[in-house]
Amino acid sequence: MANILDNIVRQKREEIKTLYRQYDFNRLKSEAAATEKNFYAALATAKKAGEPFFIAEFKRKSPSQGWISENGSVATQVRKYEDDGACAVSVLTDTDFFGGTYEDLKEAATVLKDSPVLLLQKDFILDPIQIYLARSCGADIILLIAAILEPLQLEALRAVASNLKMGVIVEVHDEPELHAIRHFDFPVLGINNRDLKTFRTALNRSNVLARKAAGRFIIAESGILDYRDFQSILKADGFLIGTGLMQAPDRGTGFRSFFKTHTGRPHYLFKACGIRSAGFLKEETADFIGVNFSPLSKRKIDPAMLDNQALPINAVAVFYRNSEVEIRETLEKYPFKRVQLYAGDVTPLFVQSLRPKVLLACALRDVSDLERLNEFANDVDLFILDGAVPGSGNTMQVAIPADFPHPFLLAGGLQAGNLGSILAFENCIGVDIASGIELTGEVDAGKISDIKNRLACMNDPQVVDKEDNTPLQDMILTSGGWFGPYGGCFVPEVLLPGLEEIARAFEEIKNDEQFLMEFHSVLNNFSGRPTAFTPLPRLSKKLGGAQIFLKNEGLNHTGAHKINHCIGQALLAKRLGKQRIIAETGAGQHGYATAAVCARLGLDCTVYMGRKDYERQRPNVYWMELLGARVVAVEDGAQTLNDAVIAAFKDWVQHPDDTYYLLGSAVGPHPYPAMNTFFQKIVGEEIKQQCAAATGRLPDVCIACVGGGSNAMGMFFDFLDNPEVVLIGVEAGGKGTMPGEHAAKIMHGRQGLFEGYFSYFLQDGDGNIASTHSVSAGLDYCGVSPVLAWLADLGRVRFEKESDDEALAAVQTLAREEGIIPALESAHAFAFGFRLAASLSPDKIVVINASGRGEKDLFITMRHFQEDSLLAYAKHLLGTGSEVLAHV
Amino acid sequence: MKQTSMPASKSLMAHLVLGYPTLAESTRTAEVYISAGCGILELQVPFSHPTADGPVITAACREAVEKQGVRVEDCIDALKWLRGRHPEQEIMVMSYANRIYAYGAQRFAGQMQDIGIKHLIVPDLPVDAPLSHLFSIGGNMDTRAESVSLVPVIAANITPERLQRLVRQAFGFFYLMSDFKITGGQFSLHPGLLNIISYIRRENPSARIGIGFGISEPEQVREVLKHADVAIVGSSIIKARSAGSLAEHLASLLGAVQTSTNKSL
Repeated sequence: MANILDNIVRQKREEIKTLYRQYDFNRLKSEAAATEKNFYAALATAKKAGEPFFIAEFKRKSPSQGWISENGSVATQVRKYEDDGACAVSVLTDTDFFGGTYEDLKEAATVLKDSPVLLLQKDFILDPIQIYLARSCGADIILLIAAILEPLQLEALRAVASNLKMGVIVEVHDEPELHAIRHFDFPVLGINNRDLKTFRTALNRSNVLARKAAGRFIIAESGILDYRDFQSILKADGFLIGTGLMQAPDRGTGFRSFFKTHTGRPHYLFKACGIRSAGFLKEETADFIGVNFSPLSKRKIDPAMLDNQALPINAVAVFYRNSEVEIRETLEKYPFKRVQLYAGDVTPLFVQSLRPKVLLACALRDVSDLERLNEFANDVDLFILDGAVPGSGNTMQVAIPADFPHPFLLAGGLQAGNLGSILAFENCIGVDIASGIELTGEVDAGKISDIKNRLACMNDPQVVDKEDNTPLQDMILTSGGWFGPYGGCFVPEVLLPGLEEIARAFEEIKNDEQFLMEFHSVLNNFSGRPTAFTPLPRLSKKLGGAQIFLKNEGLNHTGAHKINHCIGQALLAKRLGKQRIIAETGAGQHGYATAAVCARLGLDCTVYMGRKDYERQRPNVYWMELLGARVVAVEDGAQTLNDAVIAAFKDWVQHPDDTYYLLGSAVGPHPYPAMNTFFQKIVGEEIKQQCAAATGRLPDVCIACVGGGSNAMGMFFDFLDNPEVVLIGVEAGGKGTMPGEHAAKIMHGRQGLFEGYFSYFLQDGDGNIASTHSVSAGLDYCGVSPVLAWLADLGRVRFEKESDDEALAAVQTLAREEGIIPALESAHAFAFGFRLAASLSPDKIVVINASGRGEKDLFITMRHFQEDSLLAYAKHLLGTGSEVLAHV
Repeated sequence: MKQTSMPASKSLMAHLVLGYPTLAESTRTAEVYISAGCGILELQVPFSHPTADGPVITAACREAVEKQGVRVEDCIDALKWLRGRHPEQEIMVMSYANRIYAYGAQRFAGQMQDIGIKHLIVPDLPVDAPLSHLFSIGGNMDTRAESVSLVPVIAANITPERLQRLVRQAFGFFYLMSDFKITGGQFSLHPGLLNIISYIRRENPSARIGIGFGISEPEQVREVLKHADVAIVGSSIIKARSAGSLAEHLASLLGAVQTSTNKSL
């Protein structure tokens, strides 16, 4: 192809000669008045507001597209742009190649006369007469193209425009052009994504060039089809959009979305990959829809399916290990607007020869793969960084640098539960998910909608918009019960007065020194705080990694952290004049602590416990009764913790005036999540001091198990605003990933509204709450703290899970190596913590929260480790029992 | 003497759990209610964990969810079927919030509107909860738009400020809990309700008032209809159906409704 630009320039010189014949240059010059609209001021205002500067172009035709709108009305279109929020309108005046005229420019100027929207004349400017003419037609801005002008010519033409107070955009296409003007003061650069030799566009060009043009105001031009493309251009301050807007299918909402979707905040994109049924091949399925043509993929599509199918604009043809011939043939047959190639399969030259937009994936095996990507940087639209074996569902084997310079989608092992990991990368703009959208080998609408919901939360201003100077801690304690979209107070009307009363009291005591003094005094004198902070030197050495420390909440009175919030809440109940306390309990630890505190403070205590838990946790029932509590076995439902919670609520409905519900985790309606976090935060405060005393610094990693989330929030709270401290919550992986086999809400749950709060819940696709399983009764619950749901979406707390067996093994390891028997709940945190510590260097400090001690698990762990001894002991007890009975 | 500000006709609102004991049997029962003369049906979408219901309704929900596997979609089909056969029958739908959320709140509200359901009772969703905030993630639950409205379920402990706020929102129906209890409990009428009722009557004369929770005897129906327009019964008729005495039980309750209506005319 002959260089189109050369043709244009040749033609343009002829046109200029004609202009000189048509107009009196001196008259044009003397009559041209300066514009009153200040381009640079408008740019500065947009930048200050964090809004991109949108320039919308009216274009009749182009050399690459042919006719777009031969008879379109300039006035109509310009008004539309103005209404939709464009900052400036661009009108082409080149006739031969773009079908525009100076009449078009005049018509636009008439529409914009009293509007703040600016007018850009787009042409191939070579001579001052074009500028004077443009000004006389009403233009406020001109564009100068570095590819057709020497720097000194650029400077001369800029001076002409400046005298008329017009703004100037200098357009560059490549590095040599940028280099040539490096010493000139052109504050606004247009970076054209188009290769002028081939007229092909590649969005990443503007990213590469913009980085090298730091300090100037950057406007990205060309190849911007829709909102997805804004996301791929990270470094621009503004966008010039022509064809994409002129061709937007719906000129109502479609238009507006161009201007409104990109507001400077990250909007994470979702590519659903491996779509192979027509039902999912719709634009609304995801931001990108991957259709796989790889001969090696189990997700390869049957091409016949595409034969009578309209391809949505966001469909991506995915190739891996296909030959170049196959790729070409497929793209000829099916009109995909986007194609995904693997870096190892193709050359930059091949990429340059393709018309569709190119997403280039790289299977990361070693660092050379990353380097190889740079060869493609100017020719692709977006990168995808994938795990080592594409489509296998395995996570990354090579670490992606957090500052990988190009925008990319993260792929490999992603699913709804671990999306927060993308927040670690500066330039990650979304996710590419294949196995994570499947259920038993088939693409699942529920999984897709889970991922969309979670990304929506990560995009949600309510989640991500925190005032820069507002610490997370303040937000949690002063949020009125809302943590992003999570939390709230969703209860029957009859409970609202009681909850409001408690919420008001909580507001008062937060800063009431006398109350807090009493609280801390009871913590110290009754529960034995502060609890020990214990180094684990033998284990650390054996694992050969980080130094591990253990926070021993198991040394609290009644054996777990639960007593911290029980003391706080019971004191609050007393302050409110309530004499009757009700509580729910699963394993019995919260009930036991509540009973002890109530006895201590002289309060009447009723504890609800599912019949099944009642039977299997008899020792705790006995302790509670010994402490004077009434323990009610709940016969409803599955007869476990959930049913106990509901029974307690029902009790409260029937006694709303005189009863205080002492809820046992950082869950439930407002104010419980924030209030229990507040009473538990002593755990992290002590760790901070104790760690400083022991090591002289903050820990690198804090790990806690997560059931409802009270011990985790207790440990994490004081570190939330120390971003250098990594916080990890470990959920109960149980015995599998099927519903009913685990209790991992963040990893596998979906958003829902239950027991008074909005959070992640384990449930079926139809909104019924699912059964849960964990070897540890304390984690065996269907919901999770709304505070943790929010922190997970924010990426501030990372989540992992451990199985029943791993937890049991961790109990034994800690017992044998360090002489401490943790509760089975806490053992989940240890199982993960040991594995993590082994992979870290010895200068790292890992703290693990032992939320409780393991004596309560006597029969469960004994059955696991020494079943014979347990049986023998049971026989012995029974024998003794019958002898005793015989004497009665 | 007839009070002009008070809707004169009294009625019985009869509750059942869709899908209990089977979907077909529950719709048949609904037709028995209709032909017996129940003015309003309250049809509940079953939920695995009905947090505000007593043992009878909880067991019915469990049966419908666990044994019958009744989905929200099935309930909507049943409602459509009933609507087709009884175009004029007033029906209210009761559901816990999570089932509506999982189904898609906006979609659900749209379906209700299409079927001609004007009132939704969602016990764990305060009527002024920030719906748009919450439900925008899964679609908007715009129940106050058009013709579908949430029903406030209030008890004697509502604060005067809150009562004022709710009454000003012009809900067409107020569901009053007879006392502090769960469904199916021992009947009693909290004395505090009388002030609440007269306040609603004064500020929003066109609103209907129903009283429910624990009503099982004709005498109790007569007592609540002295003050309310609608007596709401659930657990007792579910028990009567199981015991094979549904027709007799309904007849005695409806007889009480009739005498109350005559008195108020």
